[in-house]
Amino acid sequence: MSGFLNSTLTALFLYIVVAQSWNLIGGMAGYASFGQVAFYGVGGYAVALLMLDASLSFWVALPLAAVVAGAYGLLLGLPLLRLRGEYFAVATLVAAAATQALASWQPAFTSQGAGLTITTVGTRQTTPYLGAGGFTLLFAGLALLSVCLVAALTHTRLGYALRVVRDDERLARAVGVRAGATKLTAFALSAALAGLAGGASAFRLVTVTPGQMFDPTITVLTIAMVVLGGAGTVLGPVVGAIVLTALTTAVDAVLPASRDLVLALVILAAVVFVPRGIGRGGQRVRLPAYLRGPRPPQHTTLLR
Amino acid sequence: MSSALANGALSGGLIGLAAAGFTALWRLTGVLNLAQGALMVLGAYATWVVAAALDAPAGLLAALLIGALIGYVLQRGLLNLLLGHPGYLALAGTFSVGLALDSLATLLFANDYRVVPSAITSTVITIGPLHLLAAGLVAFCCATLGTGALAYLLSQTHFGLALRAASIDRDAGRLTGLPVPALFGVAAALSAAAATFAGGLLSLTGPFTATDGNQLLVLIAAAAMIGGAGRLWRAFAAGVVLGGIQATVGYLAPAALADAAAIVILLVALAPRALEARTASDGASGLGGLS
Repeated sequence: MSGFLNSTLTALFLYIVVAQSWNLIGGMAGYASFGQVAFYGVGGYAVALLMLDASLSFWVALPLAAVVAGAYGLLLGLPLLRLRGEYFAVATLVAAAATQALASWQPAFTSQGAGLTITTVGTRQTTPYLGAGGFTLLFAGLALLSVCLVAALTHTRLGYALRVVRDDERLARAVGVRAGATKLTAFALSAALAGLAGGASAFRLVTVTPGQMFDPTITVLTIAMVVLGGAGTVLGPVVGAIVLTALTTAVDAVLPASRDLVLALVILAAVVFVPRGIGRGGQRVRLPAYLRGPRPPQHTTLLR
Repeated sequence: MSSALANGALSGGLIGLAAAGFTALWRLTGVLNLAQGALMVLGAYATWVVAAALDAPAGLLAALLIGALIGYVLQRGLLNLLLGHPGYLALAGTFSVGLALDSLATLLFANDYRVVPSAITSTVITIGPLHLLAAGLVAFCCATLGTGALAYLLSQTHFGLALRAASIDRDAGRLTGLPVPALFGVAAALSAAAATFAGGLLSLTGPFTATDGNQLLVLIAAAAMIGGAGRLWRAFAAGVVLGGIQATVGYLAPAALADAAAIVILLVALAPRALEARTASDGASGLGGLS
């Protein structure tokens, strides 16, 4: 396979993993996390540190990174999942910024923000660099894992519980769903998936820096993919990832300097024109809410 | 150290002004404008460009106008369309507006530090044990006045009354003849102008760069969250406190830790709100109260 095809496919599979990770908490549980990149970054740093300081093989470090990111998700989720709506969104955004700040500060972790370089050549290397084809396969495997995880969850008790929590948390509690534990499980799983993506990316990039591993643009790009494809569905995030990979690849080829600008415009277009996802169809004529007559009730009236 | 604290608190006033605009729009339209940090940077550049050609006050005026224009267009072109949709769509939308502004600034001005040179930039005023930067003091006074003007407009004028009425019930507002979309547009214009004006003041007091937007946004959102939706003066005060804490920690420890400290304070401050928000999210979406 050519280098171009490899890098495009790798990007696609990476996007699928992070999109499914957000889908678990934002789509299925209805908790729109704006700090997803924190777990991606923690996973990346975990792999780099485990390979550098503990001299572990990448194949041991990667699952451990998922565990570390998942544990970090539990830690953040315990207080943050008590918040709702915009409070949760901003608190997670801020928590991710705090994580980045800590990664930039802690000298032992990050050589004072200058970044870490994983040893990939010479006698101190723990795992040979996988090469372009190897990474494509690795990310393909992770993407498959993430899609299977979400698909499997959809039909388990946890999946049903998550959707009830999303639609009406009080109803969920009333029918015996342990809403807190349910949300926390979803958040930790979501964090672990993001950690896997970050960990594999770290090895692929060789050098990790706080600015790159904790770039909030990654979070918003992820949300755009899920929104575009259809939040809460199994294949929606995959569709969103394909669309955005095609777009970013095209932009990189034509206008590399204005990549962020074009991405921002794409996200805006997605949010305005297909807020419910491509699969469920855009609204052809979008009237402002104040012209659309009374809104349907937002909550069930069962418990009122 | 007390000087570091005082100067930090003074520059926190600029965050406070932007946070006051942020929280006003939050209460009135339910939208958290995640472009507020990028708008602040935009205001800084507007002031920097115009001040180089004319003078600093003209630069601040330019920042004010460009902010109002962008805010109005943002509300009419994007946020009004998203009313009634899940809140995270508006958050993703405003964040990407911020991203677009950031990348425009990087394309136009490259990623290096700028500062508006002016006569008072390096003047230091000594009051007792405190050594205050004159420019910071002037900027703080301007930010206080700006917050006061915003609070006055929204709470004391006929326009403010109409806006709050429209915010409480959009449909009833339409029925009674209020131009609701335009009113929301003006609210966003005021909110964004607060950010660009604060950014203009920032450019007069210290160096800034195209990528400062996210860091500013975190502090602005933190101050607004601590203050609460629609609490302009509390958000302003929270901005001042955060600025002071950040500067003090930055004086004692590495700068990155100062950011983390300010953020940890936000998360602690959010704790009581965790329980409050749980019930608030089930009830009515705010009563348009501003203070």
